[in-house]
Amino acid sequence: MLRYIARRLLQIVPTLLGISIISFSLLYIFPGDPAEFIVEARYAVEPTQEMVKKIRMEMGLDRPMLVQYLDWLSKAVRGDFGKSWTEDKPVMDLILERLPASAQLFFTTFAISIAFAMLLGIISAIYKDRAVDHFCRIFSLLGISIPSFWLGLILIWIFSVQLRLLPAFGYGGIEHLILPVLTWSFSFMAIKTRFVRSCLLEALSQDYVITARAKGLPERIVVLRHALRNALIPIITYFSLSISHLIVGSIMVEVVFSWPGLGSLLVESVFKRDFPVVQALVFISGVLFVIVNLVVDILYAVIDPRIRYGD
Amino acid sequence: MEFAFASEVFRSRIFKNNLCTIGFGIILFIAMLGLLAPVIADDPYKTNLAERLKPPSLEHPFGTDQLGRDLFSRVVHGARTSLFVAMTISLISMAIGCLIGAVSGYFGGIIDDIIGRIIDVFLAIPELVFNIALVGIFCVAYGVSTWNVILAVVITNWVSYARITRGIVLSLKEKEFVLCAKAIGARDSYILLRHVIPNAIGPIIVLATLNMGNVIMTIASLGFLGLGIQPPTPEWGQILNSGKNYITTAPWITFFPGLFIALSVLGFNLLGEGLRDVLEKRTLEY
Repeated sequence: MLRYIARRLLQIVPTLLGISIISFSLLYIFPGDPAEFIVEARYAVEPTQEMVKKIRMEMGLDRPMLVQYLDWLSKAVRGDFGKSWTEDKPVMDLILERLPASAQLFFTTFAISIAFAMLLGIISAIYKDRAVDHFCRIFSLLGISIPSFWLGLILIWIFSVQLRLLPAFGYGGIEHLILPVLTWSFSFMAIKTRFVRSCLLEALSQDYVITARAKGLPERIVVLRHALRNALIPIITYFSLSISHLIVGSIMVEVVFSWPGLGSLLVESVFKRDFPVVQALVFISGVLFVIVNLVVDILYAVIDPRIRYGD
Repeated sequence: MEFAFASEVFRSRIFKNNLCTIGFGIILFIAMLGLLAPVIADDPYKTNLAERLKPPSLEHPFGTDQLGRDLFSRVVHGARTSLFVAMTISLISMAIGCLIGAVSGYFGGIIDDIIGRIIDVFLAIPELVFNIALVGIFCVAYGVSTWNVILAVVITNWVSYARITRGIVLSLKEKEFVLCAKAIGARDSYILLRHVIPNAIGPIIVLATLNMGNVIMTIASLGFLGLGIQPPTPEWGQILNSGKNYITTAPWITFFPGLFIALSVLGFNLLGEGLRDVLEKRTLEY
């Protein structure tokens, strides 16, 4: 087991390095002097020679690229992404301010989507190729095809403009949470519903299900206790993987509802040309994806010993 | 003769599949609207401030926008923009991705290790986050243009093609018929033309179809954020973005472009799923 974990840890090192190189080089892929952009972004004036020189010294932009990268990386792994170009605050503070809103939106959506995806997926699988199943398939196709920003605006039009029931935007109470969660859940649960359906169908086609049925067990027990239990491992894995959407999975929803989360922060920072924030969000979201994958893989190996030896 | 017969059988199988037929119908409908846009619709740029924010009527079937432009013309011309840009992006990323994936899978060894790691890195960074960051930086660096959007999306989009091509080539390398061909001294180019491409083409067509839907959605998302194709060029996401400020007084500006985004993405998803049903049954016969 320890050997498996050690090997997986080693495997992610190049990926993490790659993510850091890409995030770092985002600032250097354009022609021109980053120091000039910093002056423009920070003071909104035409950069003078002196100011550029001062910034260059201050930020260490005159050092060799490799030294700058290593310096950036060694700070980034400790959560220090430097100072914002437009606000007098460390980048990490800006991110931490926005994290609670994103987390609230994500976990509410996550919980609701899982509940409905399980329910719809199980019903779909039991009534395969019947009307309910077709309905679920259409529903999940619509979920991935309907743009969330459009759905969000339509919900705003129905519930805020016409019915005056819910606020159209803002952050605070439960009433602010309803529309964004509804919007995001629609697409979030779409693919998950289909995944639950196909996992359960796969399990239902196994020999032990035939045995269970042959024993004369009631269908309810066959499905819930025999098939579903076995289908649950891939389902839980798949659900856990979506935790990597926590950081910036809901950009469009956040922008539509002016939700003060990390997705809005990313878009605002792009418009303010506050690139250290953009850089940090690219880095963090990539690293989170890798780490969530690693943890899920390891847990999977703990549960299912075949994985450890098979690979 | 033989080929004509096979393609006949194949075509009938594709159209017997309901998903394919409906999806293809939707795409054809939107593509025709886009192609015929100059004939069936007015000038999408013509403003008329006396006619601003008018609800749908016989004269303006989709209503008018905040500058009094006919929304139907803008949405129909938007189909041209979206489909053209999405196709450009898909074709470029397909060419790059398939080439990289094939090289990686075919040569193996250290090349494959390096390319494999690069693919992992691109898969790890959420696509939309990466796109937004790249478009933002390109805008500062090169000024605003449609090429920023194309370049940014291609940078993230080639990966799925590379991954699938690499997988196919790797699995084919082990297949008996490829080993046999090698054993009788067939050249690499022959194996590639005769065995690799015919076997890879199905999954790649499925991926490309589903990918068109994704790319249309990405373009619209960037447009909605104000980072995509810039006004006055009509683009669905960007029309939606301008409509969001008039949601209380003129909801039709929001409604119609969104409907067309949803329809075209749905069309490609249906066609892609249908093709997968048809084509993957075929690959199973091996």
